[in-house]
Amino acid sequence: MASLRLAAGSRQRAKRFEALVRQHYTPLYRVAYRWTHSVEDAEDLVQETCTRAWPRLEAIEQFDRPSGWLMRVMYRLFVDLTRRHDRRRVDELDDALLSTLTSDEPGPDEQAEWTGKAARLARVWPRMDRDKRALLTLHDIEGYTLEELQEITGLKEGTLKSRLHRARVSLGRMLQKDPDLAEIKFISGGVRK
Amino acid sequence: MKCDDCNALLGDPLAWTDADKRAQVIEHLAVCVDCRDALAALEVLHEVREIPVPPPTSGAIAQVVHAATAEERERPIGLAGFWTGLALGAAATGIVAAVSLALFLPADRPEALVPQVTMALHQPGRVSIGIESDEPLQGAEIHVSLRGAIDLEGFEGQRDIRWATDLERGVNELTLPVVALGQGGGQLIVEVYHGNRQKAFFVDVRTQGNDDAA
Repeated sequence: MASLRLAAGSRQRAKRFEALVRQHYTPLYRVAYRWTHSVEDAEDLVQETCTRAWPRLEAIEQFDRPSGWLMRVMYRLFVDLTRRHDRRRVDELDDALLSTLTSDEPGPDEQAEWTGKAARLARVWPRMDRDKRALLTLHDIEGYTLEELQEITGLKEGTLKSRLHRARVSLGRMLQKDPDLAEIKFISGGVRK
Repeated sequence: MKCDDCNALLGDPLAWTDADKRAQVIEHLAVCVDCRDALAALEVLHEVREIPVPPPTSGAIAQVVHAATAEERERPIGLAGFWTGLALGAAATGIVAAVSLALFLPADRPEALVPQVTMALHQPGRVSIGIESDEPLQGAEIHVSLRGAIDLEGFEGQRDIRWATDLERGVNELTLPVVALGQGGGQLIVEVYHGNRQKAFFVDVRTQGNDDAA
C-alpha cells in the first residue's frame, strides 16, 4: 500500500492560512494582551484561536467579517477556560497552555511600566471575573461597538448593556478598595502612618 | 434620569458635550453610588486605552502557522492501488478519516465505494476528504450538504455551505468539523463544480454503538 504525504494542495492552503493570520493577528493579540496583561499568555491565546481556525479556513474565507468569528472564538476560549462544567473545552488545551492561562498575574516587567490610574487597574484586574474583563476591554478600552459585541459574545444588546454597567460598577468598587488609594487619602489628611 | 440612561451616556463621550445631558448625568451621579463607581472605572479604563500594548515576540505569527498546520503536515494518507473510498481508524482524541476520491475517474477504474466514518455522539471530530484532480482547477465551486443527524461545529444549523476555491493537481484536502447529533448518523455530500463538469462524493457518518450493531 502506498503512502502519500499531503501535497501541493495543502501547501497552498497553508499559505492562505498564513495570510489570514497576518491580517488578523494584531487586533487579536492587542485584545488578548489587554485581557491577560501578559505577552506570553496573549500569544498563547491567539495561537489557540488560530489553531481552531485552520480546519475551517475555507468557510472563514467566505465570511464578510472573518475578524468577528476569530474574536468570538478567542472570547469563548478566554471566558470559558475556568468554567469547570465545560470539561470538553478545557481538555482540548494542553497542560502547558492551561497552566499559563490560569496564572492571571502580570509579569513584573509589564506591571512596572504602568503608573497612576493604570497601575491601580493592573493591581485589581487579575481579581476581576474574566467575562467582565473581556467586556470592559472590548467596549471601553478597545472601542468595539455594541453591535460588534453582540456578534462576539452572542448576547443581546440589552443584556450587554446591563453586564457592561455591572462590570464597571464592580471595577469601580474594587478600585475604591485599592489599598494605595486609602494610603494616599491618609497622607493628604496631614497624618503620616 | 435612570441608571440605564446614565450608563448609556457615561460610555458615550459625545454625550458630555451636550449641556443638558451633562447636567442630568451630574444630577444623577450626585445620588447614585453605582453610577459613580461606574464612572470611576471608566476614567481608569480610558486612561489605559492610551497605554501602548507591547509588541509580540519576534516570529509569533510564524509560530502560529507552524503550530496550527503541524498535525496536517505530519499525517500520511494511505491509499490502495486503485482509487476507492478508504476510512482510516479513529485516533484517540478524535476521529480522523482520510477519504481519497478521484474527481475524474478514467473509464477503466472502478467507481469509488461510499466511504464511511464512525464518530462518538456529540463529540466533534475532523473528517478529512482528499479530493484528487488530474489537473489544476481554478475557480472550482465546492458545495457541502448535510443530511441526517449531523452538524458542522461553528456552523450549527447550516445544511448547505458553498464557496469558490482553486484546486491544485493532486490531492486537495478538505477538513470538516463534524458532530454526530443522533444515533442514526447522517451523510456528508461534497460536490465539486468546474465549468460544465460536476462530481459528487458521499461520506456516511455513523455513530459508535450503532456501527458495532451493524
